[in-house]
Amino acid sequence: MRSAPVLFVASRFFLGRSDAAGSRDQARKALAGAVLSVALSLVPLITVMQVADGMIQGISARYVELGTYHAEAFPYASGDLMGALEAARASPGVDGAWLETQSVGVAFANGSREGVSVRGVEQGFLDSSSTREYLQVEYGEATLEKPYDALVGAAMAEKLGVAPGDSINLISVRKSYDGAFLPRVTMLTVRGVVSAGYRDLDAQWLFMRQDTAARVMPKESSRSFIGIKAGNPFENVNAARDAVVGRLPPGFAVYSWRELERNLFESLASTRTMLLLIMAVTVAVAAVNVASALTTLVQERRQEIAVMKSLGATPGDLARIFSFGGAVIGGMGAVVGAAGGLLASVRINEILSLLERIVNGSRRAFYAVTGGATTEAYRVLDPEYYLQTIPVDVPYGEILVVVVATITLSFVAAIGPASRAAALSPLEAFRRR
Amino acid sequence: MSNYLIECSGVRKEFRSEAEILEILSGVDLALEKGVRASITGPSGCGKSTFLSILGGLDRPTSGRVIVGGVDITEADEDKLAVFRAREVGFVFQFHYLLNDFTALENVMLPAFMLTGDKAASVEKAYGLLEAVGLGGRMSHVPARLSGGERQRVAIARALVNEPGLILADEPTGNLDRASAVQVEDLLYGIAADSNTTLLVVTHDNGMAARADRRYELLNGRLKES
Ligand SMILES: Nc1ncnc2c1ncn2[C@@H]1O[C@H](COP(=O)(O)OP(=O)(O)O)[C@@H](O)[C@H]1O
Ligand SMILES: [Mg+2]
Repeated sequence: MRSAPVLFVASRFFLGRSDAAGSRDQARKALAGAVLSVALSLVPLITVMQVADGMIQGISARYVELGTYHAEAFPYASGDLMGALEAARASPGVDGAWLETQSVGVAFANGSREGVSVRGVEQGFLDSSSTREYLQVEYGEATLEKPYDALVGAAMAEKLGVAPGDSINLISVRKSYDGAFLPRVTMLTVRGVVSAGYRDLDAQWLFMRQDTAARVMPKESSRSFIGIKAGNPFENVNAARDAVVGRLPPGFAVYSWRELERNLFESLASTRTMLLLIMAVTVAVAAVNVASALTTLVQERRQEIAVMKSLGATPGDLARIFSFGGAVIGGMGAVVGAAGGLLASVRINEILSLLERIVNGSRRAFYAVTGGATTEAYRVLDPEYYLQTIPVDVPYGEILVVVVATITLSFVAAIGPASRAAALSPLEAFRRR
Repeated sequence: MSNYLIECSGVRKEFRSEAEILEILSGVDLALEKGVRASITGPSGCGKSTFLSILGGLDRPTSGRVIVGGVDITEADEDKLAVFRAREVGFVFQFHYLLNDFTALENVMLPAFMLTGDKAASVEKAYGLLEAVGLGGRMSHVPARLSGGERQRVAIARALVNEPGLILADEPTGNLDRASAVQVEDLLYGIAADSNTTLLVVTHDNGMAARADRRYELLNGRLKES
């Protein structure tokens, strides 16, 4: 049989006619159910795919613009930091280059104590537009004017109970020549409370002036380097590194942001893959629904299949009719599911906050009735680990892959019932009713 | 090329179950020239339908040779049999076996559409055939909206659409009222005569059997001319 009659017969078998005899609706209901189950299985898959992408994108952008810069140049042996800084700034394509001195310490304030990651930075870094895009000033201002000014991350400020104008004692420890530990206390004044919108970062950062940090923090537990920004770090991972490589004085090693945070990005990517694999299982389950709906259809249509054969349809024709039908069911489910998933992920922030409001509202109502104490508000995504608002970014290419894969899967699921239809004896038609 | 449309010899058919072997046909011989109209009668359960299924390539004999329209259907594979059924044979049964989701016109055109892939030509042919069986006004009706006699006439039109050399009719009037039965009988014999098509009709109706050019009776697994 050519393709046109196959399509013609398949469309009638699968869609039927409203005025046709008999209410053999079992199979049609099963078919509609199969379309729905394919669609429903794709909604979370597409949503996770997209939201995870958005989250990874958002987290990466914060790490890159606020943490690692686009690239870092480290001196080894006796690299000339100031010379390298000049050379980096003069390199074509470079948007900015700044000195940074990093160290660790313990911050004391109001009787609380927290380990901090000390970042001695230049004002120019704080003022650069890509920094400001991701670093929100919650209180005070993001300026390090006086030598002992400091900015603290929002979560850190909360734990220490500090606000702009408050003092923090920063304790660092230096090892003396004879092996004894010598503590050093530096009193800093909080000028601003800042937030990257990502708890992990906000809980550990304490910014101070680079020149002060280089002076007060112990050399052996500090490292100074040049942070470089150039172009779009996600379009060209190595843009910043390549811009300065070969232009710096001898004694520098340059690393791109991806090299610097390899572990983080790999773990983000593998978490996403894990989630997607779990979701893919639900799509496979939906494909089983396609197979069972088609089995019902073949069972219901035994006689008509046999009649088709007595009219000259080959086993191959019948296999094509049903496997094509399976692919169409998968395709319909995939398109509906992809649309649903897209809609859900475009509105994911609203959906999550609605969910939180429903849960918290009913909990408040519950406590109002029982007289119990209200505990901490419920968050669907613990902000400790996730961005407070999820950026949305549509991965059209991947969605297309998912749709095509779903259609293929449904086609494969249809092979069983289709070959049963193909193998049916034409005599089946004429058995006693 | 032989001038017989049907040549079968020594056709045996057994149905095996765990308990027993049931021999239904025990060596049937039949030779029919092109254009001959023949009838088969016989008691219920004697194997008439089984024999027709074998001639039409729906079932295979246990042994023996069957050549229809020059095709040795005991040797043909499934795909070859499908083509044989499409080109050489038109079936009409006691039940109409029309496809429920297709209109009268679509039911009739489908075998031609399946064979040629040419929808327009198939529809045109079906149109003419439905006119010829007196159903010009019922083209777009689904089987559920047709009477028993009308359904059977649609089935006859469908059997003719590929201009087969052989029409196999298995008790085509068995389910019809007298008036419809006469219409169907006239149609089958008339068309076979007009188009020089071989007709083999199984019937319990003596009047219908008597109209045939040649009459056979199936008894005890063998066919004999009467
Ligand atoms: N597939 C089958 N398996 C077992 N017995 C069968 C099968 N098909 C037909 N029969 C038996 O073969 C006999 C002949 O059947 P059939 O050809 O339909 O008779 P007729 O058409 O002459 O009434 C019957 O006894 C029937 O029960
Ligand atoms: Mg019979």
